[in-house]
Amino acid sequence: MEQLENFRQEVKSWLDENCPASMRNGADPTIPTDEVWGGRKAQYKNPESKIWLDRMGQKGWTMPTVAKEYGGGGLSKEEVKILNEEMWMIGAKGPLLSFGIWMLAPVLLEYGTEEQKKEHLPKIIKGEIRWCQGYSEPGSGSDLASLATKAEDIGEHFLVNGQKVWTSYADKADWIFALVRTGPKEPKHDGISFLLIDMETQGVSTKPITLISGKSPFCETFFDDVKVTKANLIGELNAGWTIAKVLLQHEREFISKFGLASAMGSSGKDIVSLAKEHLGEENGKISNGFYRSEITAHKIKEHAFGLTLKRAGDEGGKASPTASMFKLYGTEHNKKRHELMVSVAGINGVAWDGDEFDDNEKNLTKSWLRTKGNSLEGGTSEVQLNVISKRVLGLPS
Amino acid sequence: MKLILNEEQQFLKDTAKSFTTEKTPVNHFRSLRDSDDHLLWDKEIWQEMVNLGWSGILIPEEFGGSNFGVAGISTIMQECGKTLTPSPLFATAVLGAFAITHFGSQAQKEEFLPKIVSGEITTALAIDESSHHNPAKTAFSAIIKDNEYVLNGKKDFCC
Repeated sequence: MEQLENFRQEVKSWLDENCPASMRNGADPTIPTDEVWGGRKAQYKNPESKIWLDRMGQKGWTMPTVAKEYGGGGLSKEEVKILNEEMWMIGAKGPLLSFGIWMLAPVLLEYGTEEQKKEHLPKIIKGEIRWCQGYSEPGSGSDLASLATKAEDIGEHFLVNGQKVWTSYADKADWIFALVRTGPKEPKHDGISFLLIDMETQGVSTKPITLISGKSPFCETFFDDVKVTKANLIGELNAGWTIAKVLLQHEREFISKFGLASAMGSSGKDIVSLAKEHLGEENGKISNGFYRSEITAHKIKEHAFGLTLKRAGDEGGKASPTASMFKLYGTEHNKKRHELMVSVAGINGVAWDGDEFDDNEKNLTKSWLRTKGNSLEGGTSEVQLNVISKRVLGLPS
Repeated sequence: MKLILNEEQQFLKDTAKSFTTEKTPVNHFRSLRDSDDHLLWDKEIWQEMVNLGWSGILIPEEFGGSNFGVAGISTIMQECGKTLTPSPLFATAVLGAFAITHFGSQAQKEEFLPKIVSGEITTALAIDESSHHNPAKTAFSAIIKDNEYVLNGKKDFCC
């Protein structure tokens, strides 16, 4: 216990000295905020965002449980809990958003060689390299295993040709982890490999995709005779499907957390404030019994979901097919949240343009439309139900 | 309203279908939306609807209407909806016509209903005062002064 207490004191003083003023409670609201994804192309409106990332990255505290030899913090579970508590106490901002952390690192730790771990993990942890995910193709979405991007064996290298779609932030990423076909098309699951590719390699190009919300992270990614060293193959040749599925579990775990995170959507207002504004307020209550009831029921579900996510996290263990339960629930809940917000805002909830509507209202409409994609991206709700029925409930297929 | 249309109702539906697909396909809506004039509807199109008798469908024959009833106007509205046809049909031939026919005095019916049938006037229903429909909380006022109503207030989303 004393050891942990000492650790807590160390963390407290380190945070005190190293967490910049704009990255904690009491931050000056006029200072612009950055969404910090790191990478070679990163730009910062607030230089303290980069300073904070560098300091936390140096400590390895962006991935606190990963071993120090790979650049991680080397902390125990109890120590991570203390770190999170102390960061929460000062309202410290998370230093790094990262597909590398959420999806690739767990897979590297389980399937990568020592060389690959030492090469890639430190850069992920420090936010030096930004990753994107090359899974879906125009002809292979829900039936991902039918993917056709080919990686031909040409000696020391693979020659990659094909196309990926819905690649989030491909135009901003430095490297991509891609599923490629290295074996025959049948049986389709046995011909897939997991390959890391530098986006700067000759022959790689991207094109952004715009959604109805006006913006989206999605891109198309093209591979035209791209030469990739065989050292970038993760795991065994043609054994990539298993790795792909493990990664998807990690992805679905992190998507579930967004079921809670986007409680405000992009409207800038939480649903209760929105309701009071549009429906009126009496004695501190929303003056509409129907909506009080709907909003309360919604918040109860949200609270229960948050507690269940926390319990799953505390119970630890590896990512599993249960991640599909959380992804399914979190995304459907987020869609309902936005439906409810639009309903609460009445006619103003479907504002598209014009001066009669303020920016919050127009953003609310666009956010609502964007959530339609939530039950498609990261594996459709139908795919999640398939996983749950087969892998969690063991129902016969 | 029976779900199976009688001969007259089917005729109305067929007429409305060819009208809306030929004269007001979705592109018509889009070009109005994108025009700088911010027209709400095309005046010539409305006149053609009037000539077809659509403005008088809910209005009794004594005022010049055809009294085909709700079933009749509904089939027309359905076809208009399919191509997003912008027109004052709903506001005038449905809402205005219905309100005056059922709640107007004889004098009001005689004055306004024939003008709706002829297309001389269009009407709009002004109830909502905010983003939600809440007639109980009406702030808009009509005060009698010198034998007239003096109106004060604001209405939103009148259609």
